[in-house]
Amino acid sequence: MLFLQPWFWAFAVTALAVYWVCPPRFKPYWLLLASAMFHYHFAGPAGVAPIIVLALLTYSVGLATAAQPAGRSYAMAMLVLVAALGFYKYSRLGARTGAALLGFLGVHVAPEVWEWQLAGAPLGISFFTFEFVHYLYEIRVHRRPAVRNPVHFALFAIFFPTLVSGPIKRFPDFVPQLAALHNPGRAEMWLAVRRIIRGLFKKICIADLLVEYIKVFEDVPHFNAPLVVSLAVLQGWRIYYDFAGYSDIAIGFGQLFGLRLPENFDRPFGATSLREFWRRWHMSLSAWIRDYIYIPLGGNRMHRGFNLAAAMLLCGLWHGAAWHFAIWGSYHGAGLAVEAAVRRRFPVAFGAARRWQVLGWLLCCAYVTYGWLLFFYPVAQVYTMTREAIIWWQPY
Amino acid sequence: MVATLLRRGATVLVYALMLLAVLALWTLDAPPFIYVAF
Repeated sequence: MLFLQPWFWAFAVTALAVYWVCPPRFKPYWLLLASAMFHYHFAGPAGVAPIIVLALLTYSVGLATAAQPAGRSYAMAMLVLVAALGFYKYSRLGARTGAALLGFLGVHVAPEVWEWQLAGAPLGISFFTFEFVHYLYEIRVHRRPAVRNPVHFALFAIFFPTLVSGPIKRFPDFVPQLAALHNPGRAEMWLAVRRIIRGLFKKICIADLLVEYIKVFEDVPHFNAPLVVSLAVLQGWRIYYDFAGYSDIAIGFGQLFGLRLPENFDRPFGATSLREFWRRWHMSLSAWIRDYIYIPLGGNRMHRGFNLAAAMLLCGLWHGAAWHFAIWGSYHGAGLAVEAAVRRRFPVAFGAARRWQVLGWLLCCAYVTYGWLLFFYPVAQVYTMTREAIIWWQPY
Repeated sequence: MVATLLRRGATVLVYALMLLAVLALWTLDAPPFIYVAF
């Protein structure tokens, strides 16, 4: 629960109070100490150790790459980062899938072989990996200077409000702010407090109440069309208010430390196309996927459909080690590819005319809303829901 | 001047009510944040 635990609030109040009275030159050290305490408290030694190793690797390879951009250490470090994410997050899924495929071919694999108990994934491993990959890529490809100050780099890695679930930071925006850490002014502090209250309200008073309704809707023996539509809509609202609430709290705490963090949402359910939706939904992740997967694959320049499919498949899998997430990502990839083709052929349909905008909004809402079923439920369950909804519509 | 004061007062009231609702519904058994699991 992190932001909802009493420990967190006692910690946050202490961290802020000390930070505000700290002389400016000591602020980075205190912020780093507080962030390390937060990380250790929630992740434990087993969760902290791999992140320290990955951070040290990224920091040293960043310096080496800045000095010698053609060096091999960059590729090796990228490989290690991706392998670490794969090992901690996806090895169990891989083992289960392999065992299922072998079982399909008639080869029985004993459960003890594939149900090997790995240590749990380190807290926030996806977010760490994405920020470290971004850091090295920017140094190597865009020739950005590496962060030399180890305290600044460590703070970029483990600044506690963004440590677990983002927003995914960009170091050219974040690190320069660390050189001039300051207390927020009264106006900034009032904005931050309002942001945190809004975040808590979204999470506790909207998202968590929606969960209660969702439980009622899920607990029915048979589905029908209105029930499935309601469930999909409620799940969409729930994930929005849950994660937008989290992001508000993180951004608000950033402001209380005088730091500006990237935004994550911009009224996504008002989007009139899928492309627009992904520019407004989890913006720090969408931009990361665009900059570090879609564009390096070729972007709009060549085999655009494949690039979209691959980027969205990975985007889906990033959300969790289960195949329904991959299907959800591919579903959005397919939607984006079809939309891009329609946009090329009928650009007028994506113009400013009111009727097209309304039609686009309705289609986008319908497509995104059905997608939440794929996000939240296993494929077999979504199939059952969809079948029962369609049967309900058919006249007897 | 009066309009500004009224607007500020209304903002404070709205946020106070939101905070009150948050505190009233606060529970340690709340569902975890969805994205923390990722």
